[in-house]
Formats: sequence, structure tokens, C-alpha cells
Amino acid sequence: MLLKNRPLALFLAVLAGFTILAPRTVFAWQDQNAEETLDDENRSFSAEAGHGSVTFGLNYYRNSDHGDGNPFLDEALTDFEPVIIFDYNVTDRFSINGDISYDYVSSASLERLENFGDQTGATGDYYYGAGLGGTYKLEPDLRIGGNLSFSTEYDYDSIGLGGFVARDLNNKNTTLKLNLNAFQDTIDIIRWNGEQQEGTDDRTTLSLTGNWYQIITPSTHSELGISATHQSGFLETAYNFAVLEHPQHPGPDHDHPPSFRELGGPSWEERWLEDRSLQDDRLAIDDIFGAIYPEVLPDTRTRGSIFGRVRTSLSPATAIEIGGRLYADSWGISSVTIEPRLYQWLIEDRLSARLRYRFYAQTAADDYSAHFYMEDPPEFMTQDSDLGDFTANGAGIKFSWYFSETLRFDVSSDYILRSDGIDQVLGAAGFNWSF
Amino acid sequence: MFLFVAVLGSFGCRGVEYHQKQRFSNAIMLFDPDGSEIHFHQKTYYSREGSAGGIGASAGGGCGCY
Repeated sequence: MLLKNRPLALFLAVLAGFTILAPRTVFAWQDQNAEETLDDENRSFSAEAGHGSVTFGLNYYRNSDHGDGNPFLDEALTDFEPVIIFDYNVTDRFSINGDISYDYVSSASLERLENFGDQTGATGDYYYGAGLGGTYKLEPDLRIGGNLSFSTEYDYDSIGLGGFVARDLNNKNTTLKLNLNAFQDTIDIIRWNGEQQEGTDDRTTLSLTGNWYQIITPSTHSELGISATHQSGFLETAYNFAVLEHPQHPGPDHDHPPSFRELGGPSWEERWLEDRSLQDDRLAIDDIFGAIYPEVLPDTRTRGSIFGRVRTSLSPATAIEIGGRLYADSWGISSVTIEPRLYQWLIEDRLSARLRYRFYAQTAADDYSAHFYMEDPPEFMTQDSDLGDFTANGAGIKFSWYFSETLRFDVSSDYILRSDGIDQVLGAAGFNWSF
Repeated sequence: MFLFVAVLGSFGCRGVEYHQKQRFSNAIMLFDPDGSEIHFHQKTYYSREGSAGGIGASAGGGCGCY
């Protein structure tokens, strides 16, 4: 109950206790060699040719559905994701990096697969993703790079192309970085009932991001970023649907279930007659009469965000961070994210822990509603709960065990409470090997 | 907070000398040392929040729908 009502208070209490109980021996920490670098990107670069690192992670995600969100859909879901990430210094000036990931997604709505073999999207899906990039050091303080990425899903293929330029300034106290990324997606339009008559469509995304890294004091550094993104094309989720209800129908009467329901599009009547199991699966609320239509959303979307974080070392064994993000887009969604973190060495040079709390709140898209009605059908409509308004409070802990200077093992867990009932559990384990 | 970061950042122009940067090599001061976690969290947020940027480092790229 405390976690549900006072997540921030609970987090602060745990954070305080964590700090007080931390072994005092860790404060004997000795500063490491200053020639080590500040982040992964620089670490790769500061190393000599022939060096690099490999990271392997196994991630687990699960969300429940307590009945809010989309009232017509069970959104419970589980996802397993192994991921491999590597970087390698080909020469002292040129390094490459890449990642490969796979997702196995299963959901409560998998049962629909028994009736609709072509059911798509979130109902028992896969995701393969891979990326390859390179960074070249033009000058001691100037780097350029590019990357190519590809992903494929049951109904999605995506190709991405990106590039960046980064400049160190002010005796490397400042780094400015500009990223430009483009993605071209191809979507097989497979509807919730397996229909594929609409063929394929495209989505194009262009994103420009500027980052400013700044060392503020000998114990504090920060990042500040701003991002603008424009998307065009097919922006709906193909298998999403919206229900247009008949509000004039008499109210709930559980003793006398409705004798019929109408389903989907211009040919709803025929479809209903041919496939009654669809209606039984989809309209889980017995007292609603309505028809199912595909989700319809605008074909352009412009998104902007500003984000930043500051981390300071309170002692050689303790660091704290505060991060945040503000976001707004042309669909009417705006959001705020606040994320404080505590980093603590539990055993000097061997075991570290991280506590984090994340508050997220977003407003609903203009075209989102939990209910739409036949008498006033909108031009655009979505019942995707992720486009609705909600708040989320998440807390998590992570432990990192350093077996040696080149081998680290990580394990973490997060729990997220969402106001619309889509609570989430995240778990991850993995290792990083530098060579 | 962003104004706070910007104001603090201006202090950085005074310059922190190289020999004063030892603490930034401390593992608990590294920004984003775990690429797998970044990938995972971004994908989760992308799939479950209307305002997330996308899979990977920036917006776009596939459905990733949950």
C-alpha cells in the first residue's frame, strides 16, 4: 500500500537507509588513475587498437492489465530479450560498434492465435534488431561517426541510417555532439482479425538531437540535450482497433446478455455472421454494443524534447544524480520525467549498487478516448492506452559486481506502477568484458 | 532543472584541470556504462509510453509494439 500511495517517500527512505548502512570501509576508496576516461565512447577511443568490449544482456519484461487502459483488450504481456553489444578499436583513430537483439513476445491475447493464425503485433511476436556503426577521430578533439541499423518484426521492417559529429572544447570539459538519424519502415498492414487486404505502407522518421556534456566541478558533470523528430506515413499500429459504441442501447443487464454485437468496418455484418468467435474475444465487456474499426491517426507527427541530468560525487563511494525530460508533440501528448538516482560502492572496487526512482506523467493524445460513439464518429480515433493520460512511478535497484578490471556482472530489477493498471516488472542480467 | 543545468554548465567554462578529474573515472560516475540496459529501457519506454523517442538512441525504427 505504501508503495502504491507514497512511492517517492518510500524511495527516499530506502535511499537514506542505504546510504547510512553502507559499509564504512568503502570510504577508504582511492581515486583511480585520471587517465581513464569518462564514458564508454571515450573509453573505446582512449584505448589502443585491438582493444574493445563485449556486453551480453538477458532482459525480461512483464506487464499486467488490471482492467483500465483499453477496456476492450487484455494487455498483459511478457517479453524476453537477449542482446549483444560490442565495440572494437580497429586503429587508434577508428572504432566500430554494433548490437544484435532478439525479442520473444507473448501475451494473454495469444489465445486469439487459436482462432486467427495471422494475428499480429503484440500477440506472440518476435523482434530481430541489429546495428553497426563506426567512429573516426579526425582530430584529437573532433570525432565523426555513422551507423546503420535494421530490424524486422512480424509486420514491420525498418532500416535506419545515422551520423554524428562530436567536438571536445574547453580542455575537454565540454563536449558538443550533434546526431542526425533517419529511419524508413515498411509495415504489412495486418489488422486485428488477420485481414491483410490493405497491403503495405511506409513510415519515415527524421530525428535531430543535440547533446551538451559538461564537467562542472571536479566532482560534478552533466548532460543536456534537445531533440526534434518528424514522422510521416503510416503512424497507426496496424492491429490496433477502436470500438464505436451505440450509446442509445439500454444499460447493463447481466441477467440478459446482449443477443448480438456488430463488428468492424463496412462489412461488419458479414464478418460477424462468419466469425462469431471474434466478437466473443474482442468485446469482453458484455454490456457494450458497438462496432470495431481500425485505429485512425494523423499521418504526420512532430515531436520535441529536452532532457538533462547532473551527477555529483559526494564521496569516492557515493554519487547522486538527478535527471529529467520534458516532451511535447503535435498529437497533443506532453510529458514530464523526473529520475533521481543513488550510486553506492558496497564493497570497494568490487560491488556497487544503484537505486533509482522514475516519475513519468503524460497527457493523452488529442485523438485518444476510452470510448467513442456511433452518433459522433471522429475523423481520428485510438484506444491505445499508451496514448492515453497516465502517470507511472517506477523504482529499481541494480548491482554490479566487478570480477576484475575487465569483467563486470550486472543484475537489476525495476517495478513500475501505472495509474491505468498497466503495471510493469523489468529484470535484467548480463556481463561486460573488456579486452 | 534544465535552467539549473545550464547555469551550472556555465561554471564549467572556468575549466576543471586534467589532474582534478580523477573522480570521473570512478565507475559509479560513468554515464551509461551498460549498453544492454540502455537498449532495454529505451525499448520498454518506446513500447509503453506515448512520448518515448524510439528504439535505440533516437526516435524511429520499427514498431516494437507491445
